[in-house]
Amino acid sequence: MTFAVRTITRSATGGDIVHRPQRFEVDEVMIGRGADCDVRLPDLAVNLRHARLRKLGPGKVLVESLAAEPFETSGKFTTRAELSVSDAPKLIFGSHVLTLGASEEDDAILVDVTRMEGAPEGASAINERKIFSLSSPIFGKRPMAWGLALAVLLACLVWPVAAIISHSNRTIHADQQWTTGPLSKSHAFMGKNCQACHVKAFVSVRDETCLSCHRSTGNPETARLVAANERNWGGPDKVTLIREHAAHDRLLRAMPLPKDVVGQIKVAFERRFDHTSERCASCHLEHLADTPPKAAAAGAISLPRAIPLLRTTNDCAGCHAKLRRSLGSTNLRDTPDWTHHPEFRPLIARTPIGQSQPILDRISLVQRPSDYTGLIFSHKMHLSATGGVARMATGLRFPDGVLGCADCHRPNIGGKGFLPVKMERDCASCHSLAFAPGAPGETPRMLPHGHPDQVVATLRSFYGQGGGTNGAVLSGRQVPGFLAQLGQFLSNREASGPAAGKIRALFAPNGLCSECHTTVAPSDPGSLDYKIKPVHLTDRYLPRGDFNHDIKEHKRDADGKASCDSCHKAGESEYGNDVLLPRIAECASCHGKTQDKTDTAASGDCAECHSFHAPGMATPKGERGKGHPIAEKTIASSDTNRRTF
Amino acid sequence: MAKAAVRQANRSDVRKHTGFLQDGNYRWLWVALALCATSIVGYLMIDAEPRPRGGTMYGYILGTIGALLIVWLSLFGIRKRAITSGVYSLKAWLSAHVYLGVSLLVIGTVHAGLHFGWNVHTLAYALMVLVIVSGMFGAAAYTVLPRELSANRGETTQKQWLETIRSLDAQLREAAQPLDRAEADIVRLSTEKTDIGGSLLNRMTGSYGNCSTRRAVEELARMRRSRPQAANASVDQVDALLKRKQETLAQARRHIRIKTFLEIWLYVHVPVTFALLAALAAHILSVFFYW
Repeated sequence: MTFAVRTITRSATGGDIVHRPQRFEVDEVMIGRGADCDVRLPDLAVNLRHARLRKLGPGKVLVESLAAEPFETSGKFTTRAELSVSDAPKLIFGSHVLTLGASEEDDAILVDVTRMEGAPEGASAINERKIFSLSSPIFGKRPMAWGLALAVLLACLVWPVAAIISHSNRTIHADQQWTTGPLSKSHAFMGKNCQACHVKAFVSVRDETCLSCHRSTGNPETARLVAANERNWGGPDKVTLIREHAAHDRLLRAMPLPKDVVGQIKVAFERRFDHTSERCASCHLEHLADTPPKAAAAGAISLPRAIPLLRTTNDCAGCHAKLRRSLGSTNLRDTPDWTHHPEFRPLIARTPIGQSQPILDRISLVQRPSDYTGLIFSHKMHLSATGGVARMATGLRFPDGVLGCADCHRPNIGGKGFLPVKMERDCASCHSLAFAPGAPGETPRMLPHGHPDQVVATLRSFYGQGGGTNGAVLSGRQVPGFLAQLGQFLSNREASGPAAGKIRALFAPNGLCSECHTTVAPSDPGSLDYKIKPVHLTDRYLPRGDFNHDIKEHKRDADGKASCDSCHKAGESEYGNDVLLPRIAECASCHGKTQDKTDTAASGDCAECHSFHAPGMATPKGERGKGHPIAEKTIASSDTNRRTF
Repeated sequence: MAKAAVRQANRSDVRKHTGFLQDGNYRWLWVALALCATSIVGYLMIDAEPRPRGGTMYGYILGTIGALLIVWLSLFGIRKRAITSGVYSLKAWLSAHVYLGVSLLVIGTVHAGLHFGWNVHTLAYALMVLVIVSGMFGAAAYTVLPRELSANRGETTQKQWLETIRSLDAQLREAAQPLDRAEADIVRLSTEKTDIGGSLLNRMTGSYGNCSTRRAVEELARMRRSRPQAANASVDQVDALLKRKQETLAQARRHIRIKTFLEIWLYVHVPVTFALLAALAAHILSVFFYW
């Protein structure tokens, strides 16, 4: 029996080199690593004597392992295999492949020994890089770099922009990651809806957006829209309505360019990028709610801000110092500071000539204006310590036996100003409208003040039916003073009838009405259609400035006594048309002074009397977080500065 | 002998090597320090109402400088591929890259006004810090480690180590031919299973506790203790070869460890730079989007 063992090696060019076969005339050949083996496989994965190959019959061989280590054939590991040579079976031992075949020349069995490719090789360039350098197909620098960049770009830019464009961020607010800080408490309710304020991409927050909720307006249609907006947005607090102290375009024109080059460059950039500093959002800064107030910055406590943080981009003097130059035409004088503040220019009613309503003008106190009130009144007489008024005050048991300011001018709620003077409340205790006693147990009969026609009707009705007796009226026991005067006046007059004569006497130029009013007699001498010229009383002479009468220094002298007359020279005023406002010098005796000049020194800051968004109101001081004190209601009341009776 | 002396003299004439940190007599260090000092002085002097932040004029200026710096620093990835010399040499660029990169830490912090939150803006800041810190690690590694690398390597090259190991493996395979199966398997452990580089942890710690060659040496020693009769010349030879291989491996692995520290920071520095550029784009665009 012959086995021909051929070793086949791979040449450098890739071709096979078939070595001369070794022939073994034996029944079986030994396969192994050992030197004594017929088929020697220099492979440590092969046993010294691994297996033997034996011929069983024609074309049939048996391969069996000598130990437990198997070999591989037909894809299986086995220790024993009977094989047919004609199938050209392959036997794999370690990295060596033995292919069996029949020799074409004789009946020998050919055993071709080849070494498998892929056995560990030495230092190739790839091997070297792989071994000595960090490399990973997944965590390589390049895939990680592009992967991370793409992930960040998708998550932080593409997703929010896509959500904004498609309006699909109703529940998941992808753009929340763009916020630079929390919103103030009052705006926090719309914190997740960025587009409530940032209406248009790449366009800064516009004033119209703020004013759509905050506008104070006289236009009912706009007011309805503002109210509807407030309802729709549903903020937790009542919205603060504001208005500007001048027309918006004039405000913008009045803002001067900064003097310094840096400031001018800044403005140029702001304008170029449409992020100007005269917008609402330029002063009322949002997304800074976690910024502690400056005073508390050193402390650890940082409370959320109630309202947007206020930053001053331009102070009052910034615009008002050179207002005439900026605006071209204005009635306002340039006021660079308190010392240049112009004299007060109260709203003065000019005497109507041929018209029922007076014309209101702002006239400087320098011109000593006379205010048409339509009232005949002497403060001097009423405040005098002697004379009829004082006697009556004594009779009526007024404190000190004289009239005081507070007897007619009653403080309003809060004491900041005064209630409008009302005849029935403030004058009638002396100037009684009672003209006859009432039925037993009832109040006296009163003339209806303010309605001449009703006065006529009342008297006609009373005296037309016989009226009371002169004695009853004259007794004057129910109410002292003018009850007696009015009753006596009416009973002493001889008239052509019981009623008409008394009415004519009452409205006559020397009648009782004419003591305070200008009466107008009817054109028809037979008529009783008497009129009273309208009375115009000013509640607020200075509607653009605020004044608080309730401040101690404003109402009390050094001894703590009421000191109205230190500002209002009422004791010297004999006429109802006198304007009793103090001159601005009076304010300047304390405001703008230092403590070493006066104990009552006070600030000369514009904000003491004026504010930006609420003309006529002082700028609120102190902690604004407790609620914005400038409410629509208070602003509205400041408008009512003139009443006509 | 005379020629060698001349060579030696020539070598000493070669201008003394200066590292990238010292380039141009620390020119870029001074530039970076000036930049930091200016930023901080500006931050302290400008009374930004109500607090310093990116949205003030000074904030925008610093932001623009910072963004331009980041883009310029990122371009080093392209610049470094062209090695040139002179004033604008690659070394000068690297020096500027390092110092200006570190100064960005100050510029970025001042730009943010020391104010951070859970948003895309702070994400960009955090990524920037990560890039800078990894870069600082890299700069430190490139300053210290090449010396160690050189000391460990001597005159040997990486290729030589691989050749040596391959040669030792061949010798081991040859020497192990007469050995029986159990002994041969021990040798195979070393020749077939040895992973020179190992895992990232192996590379960083330099500890290869489960090294196959080491196990082979230990197994062989154990076998020789238990089977003294098995001792023969082949086993002795295999043992000697295994120990030599172990020494070579140790040296190569020290090299690998140093190289790992020279390279690993780049796996943070480069990918996070890309993420930073994306976050920076989101940061800038989002600010102007909701302007």
